[in-house]
Amino acid sequence: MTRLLLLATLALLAATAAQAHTGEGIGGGFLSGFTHPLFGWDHVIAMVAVGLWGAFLGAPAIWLLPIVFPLVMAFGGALGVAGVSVPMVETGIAASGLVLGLMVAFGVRAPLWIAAVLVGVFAVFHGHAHGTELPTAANPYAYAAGFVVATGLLHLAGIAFGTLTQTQTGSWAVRAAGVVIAALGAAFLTGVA
Amino acid sequence: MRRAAAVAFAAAVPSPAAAHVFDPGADPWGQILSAALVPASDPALLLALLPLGVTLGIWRTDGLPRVWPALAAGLAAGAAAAPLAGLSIAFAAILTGLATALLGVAALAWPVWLLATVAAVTGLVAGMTALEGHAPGTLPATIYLGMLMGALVTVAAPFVLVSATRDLVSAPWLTIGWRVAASWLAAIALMLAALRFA
Repeated sequence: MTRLLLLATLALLAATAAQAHTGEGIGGGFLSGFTHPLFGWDHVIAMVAVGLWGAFLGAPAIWLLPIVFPLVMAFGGALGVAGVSVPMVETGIAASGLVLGLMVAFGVRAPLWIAAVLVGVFAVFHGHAHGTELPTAANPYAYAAGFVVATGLLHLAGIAFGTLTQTQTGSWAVRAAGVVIAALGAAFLTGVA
Repeated sequence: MRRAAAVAFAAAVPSPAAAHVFDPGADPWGQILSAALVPASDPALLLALLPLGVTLGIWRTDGLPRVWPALAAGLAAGAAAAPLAGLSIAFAAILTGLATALLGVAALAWPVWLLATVAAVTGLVAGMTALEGHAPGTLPATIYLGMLMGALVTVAAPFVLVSATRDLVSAPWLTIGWRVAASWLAAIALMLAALRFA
């Protein structure tokens, strides 16, 4: 009897998982998708760089690139969801930071179609990385909405900062940001970061 | 032999999927409300209806009034054709939303007949998705009324937001912003359409 009471007391005192917020459902799925690009610096720098470069290139690139990126990223995501393998995804993601950072750092005024193709190619890598996680997400619908919105907001942040290019000093600040992005991209690419 | 054939036939006939279960026992207002909330709770329906509202607002500030009879006719046809809907109807709804959103992203001077057709197709797939598996007459009229209201509001809300802001602010960046929003909807729809192949 005493042993039984002791066991019962132990069972009551044993700590169980709280599970107040399990991350499941629509809210959890959205938050999971929303934070996925935000908590990965390799994603953040590339998406901000897209906005910065768009601001450097001016209209229509300033709005075309942020439209191209999510659409092509979704295509890459669809490949990931469908289980189609894309070679060197992580390398492509790291290279996107380096290349796009250099474009911003040097203020490269590439023709629109080249900029769109370059951004589109890198978007496939980023989308594939997100897409492979989609089917296992708590709520795939909310997850997809979350990471598309987060990606778009990162572009907007880049565009907002990129508007500084209208002044000489601001232009140098944006180029300096490009240098930082390129350096981080190189660090990811070489495995330093 | 005849009995065996009847059993085989009964087994082969698909039973209604009834993805959305309605409560016919609720009071009429409860029935309307439960049906009206279906678009808000079904991602496939949302992804079919929201892009239509955004695209119509980008197209013209009077876009929805121009095509709403086609949308309503499509919804009615969808309700009638709901028993024919299979599991793939949600996929069709998402693809319809994807195509509609891309029309909004392009923001060209689309002819009225094209947007009216898109509205009718959207109504058709939305009606079939919302009432999937429910034969006409098996649900109270209030359910159909609620579904119609819910679908129209889900299109009208983004349309009013887009067209009203475009009426208030004539700057080009605003339309660009709505085109970006349409591209986000297209991106989400594309990703979710791919789930079918996961």
